[in-house]
Amino acid sequence: MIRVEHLIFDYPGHRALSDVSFQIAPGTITALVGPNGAGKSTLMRVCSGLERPFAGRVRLQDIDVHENPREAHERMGYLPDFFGLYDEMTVRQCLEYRAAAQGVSKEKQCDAVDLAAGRMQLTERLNQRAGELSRGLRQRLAIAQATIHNPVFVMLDEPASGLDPEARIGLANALKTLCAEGMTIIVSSHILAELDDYSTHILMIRGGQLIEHAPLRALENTPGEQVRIALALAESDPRLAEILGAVPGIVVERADDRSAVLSTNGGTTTRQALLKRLVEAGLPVVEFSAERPGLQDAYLARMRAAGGRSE
Amino acid sequence: MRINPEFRRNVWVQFTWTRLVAAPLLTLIACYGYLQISDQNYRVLQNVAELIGGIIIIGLLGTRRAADSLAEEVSGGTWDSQRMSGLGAWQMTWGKLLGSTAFNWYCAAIAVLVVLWTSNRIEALGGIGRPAFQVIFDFVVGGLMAQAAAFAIALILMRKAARYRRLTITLAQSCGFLLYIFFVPGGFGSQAPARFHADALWLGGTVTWYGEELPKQLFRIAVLAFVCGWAVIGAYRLMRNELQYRSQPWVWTLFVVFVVALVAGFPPSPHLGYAFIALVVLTYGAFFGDNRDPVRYRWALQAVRDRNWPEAFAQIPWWLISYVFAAVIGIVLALILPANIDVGLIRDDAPPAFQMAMLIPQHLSTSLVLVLLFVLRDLLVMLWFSCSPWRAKADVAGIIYLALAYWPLAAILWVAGGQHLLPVVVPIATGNIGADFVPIAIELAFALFLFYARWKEITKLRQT
Repeated sequence: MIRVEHLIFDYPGHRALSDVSFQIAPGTITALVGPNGAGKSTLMRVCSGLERPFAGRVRLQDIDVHENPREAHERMGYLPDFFGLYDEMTVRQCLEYRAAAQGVSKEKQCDAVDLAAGRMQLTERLNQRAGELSRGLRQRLAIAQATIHNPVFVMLDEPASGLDPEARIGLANALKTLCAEGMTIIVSSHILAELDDYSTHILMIRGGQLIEHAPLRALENTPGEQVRIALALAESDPRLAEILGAVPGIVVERADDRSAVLSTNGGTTTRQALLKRLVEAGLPVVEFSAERPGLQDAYLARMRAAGGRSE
Repeated sequence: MRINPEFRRNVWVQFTWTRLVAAPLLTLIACYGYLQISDQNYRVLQNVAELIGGIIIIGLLGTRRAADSLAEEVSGGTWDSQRMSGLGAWQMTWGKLLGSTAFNWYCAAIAVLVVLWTSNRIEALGGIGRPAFQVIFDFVVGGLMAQAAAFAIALILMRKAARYRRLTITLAQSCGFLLYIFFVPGGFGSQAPARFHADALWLGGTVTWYGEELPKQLFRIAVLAFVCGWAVIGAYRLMRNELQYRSQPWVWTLFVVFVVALVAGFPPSPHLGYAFIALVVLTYGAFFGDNRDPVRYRWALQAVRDRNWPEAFAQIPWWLISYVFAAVIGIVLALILPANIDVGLIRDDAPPAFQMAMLIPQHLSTSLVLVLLFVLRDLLVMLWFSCSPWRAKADVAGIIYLALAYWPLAAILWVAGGQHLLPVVVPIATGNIGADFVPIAIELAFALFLFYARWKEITKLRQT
């Protein structure tokens, strides 16, 4: 989908992106995270073709974004951190303008407006002025504008900032809808718990360098990651503590005859071995749940490992 | 037919039924009222219509709207979205330029109708009206030139200092407006009496250009058409840069050649003397217009090292091109002109600045070379400012530096009777080669040292 190759970007006196390379698979939602000043917004601006890198290149479906910016923009949507709307225009006019500006043919503009308004739940507001919309609705209109031409790749810079909880849930649903329609999305945000709800991948940068790019599922199963397991039996069995103690790689935090709380950093293999041992011993296991490390845990762990502060 | 979306958006915003109806209605009432109280004085009404329609609506407000069309996008946070759209540079340029000023043009069209109607009435009463072609040409081409120039200057300035929106927009507007006033004198301007004569040859006499006597009015119209073309091309090329297209500096080079060819044609000789002065002005103008980003300069140097010539040429600063032209013409002049020109006796009671300027032709060749070296020194000092931690204020620092470097010191030296020390502060030769060149050589070496040290520092990149 999008391939970033050895990207270097400088500001006077400092390097904002240092040899950043990654590839985003189609149909994914990637959470772009990192501390303040890590280079997230710069990375997005370079990927969108708004800034030209010192070295390296960005290719979207084999189009060099910086050699053919217009061609790339027809396939791309971008919502910057500080976006604006034409307050004096109605929602319909805003969307019609963006559709036309993105090269949507006149015949298809009406359908494109209806579709974009529909998926962002703005159909009832089409005749309202943009300046009269609430913050959450403005955010949705901005995303509708950025995606009205059905781009294959969308970048959203801090789209949830300043939104109330209800609007954030709406935003999360909107992003899932876009992804379900085949768009590949990169979202940068500081609210990691929310990214966890809809992201499939994580891209961590710090000091302009790529720290990690992986599927979220892979992070859960990474050996070395601490996982807490809650275990419960249908009826008491005095052998429980003894059996648990015999499984290598398991630390029993609390246990009685009927339940236990364990922790392990052995990954899925250890958990699988533990469950097998319990079942073979004939224990009536009714609950075996691992508290998977969320995006926040994974982020903090990676940032600590990279030796940086995390925010 | 597909309407330019940017133009359409501007029309949506600007044209309401109220405004559409109010403009002609108010004009009608004002004209009728004036004719009633002035005893049918069509001539004054014509001039008022030309003043309001041309100078105020097109020249003053139109240039403001053109410049503001960009500033509004930047401050409103919509500019990035526009840059991400599928609109090409040309669509974006004319959509914004004509779209943002669409209501001004609508009002100006009403004013043109008034001018043409009054012209018709004046002729019907036995007077001489205004030629329709000239009225429309001045409005359309003059207005477009001024607005395109304001738009282009706003594009340059917004890249440099988006924070100082009002100041930059006012500066861009002022430049456009001054160009308008220069090329299109208003109804009450110096050529006002000429308005009442249809004979173009009469209008302001003739212009001598490359030895040819040309009708002044036709010459003005031709130059205005060219300048309008350059303003529109300039706006388009700057928009291309803004949309991240890679552009080679051919258009700037051609513009420099055009300016040289234009100014070199005026008497008195030497023809290239004007060209040299124009090139020095263009060098400083382009230097202040450039955002002087050390990162971009580093790209250019890297491209040269990599022998990536298209990239290297694309990154060449325009001021460097102008300076190279100035250097070539300056050296040619120094070689072909007499080294010393006797300017005769200069009266002691002549103004000091005039007396000082009269020293230049006395050692012309040396002074020309000194000018080139002083310009180089200024560029290096101002580049040093641009690489400093307070680079955001480099332009202001540059202006203060130039003012201090040339004016008070030279004046003090002159008043104190230290004429022989003038080459230390101004490019005026005294005839003593050592005294003329040693000071500037030391200054140049010092400026180069300062700049190089800062350059090394700023290109030593630290990680964020």
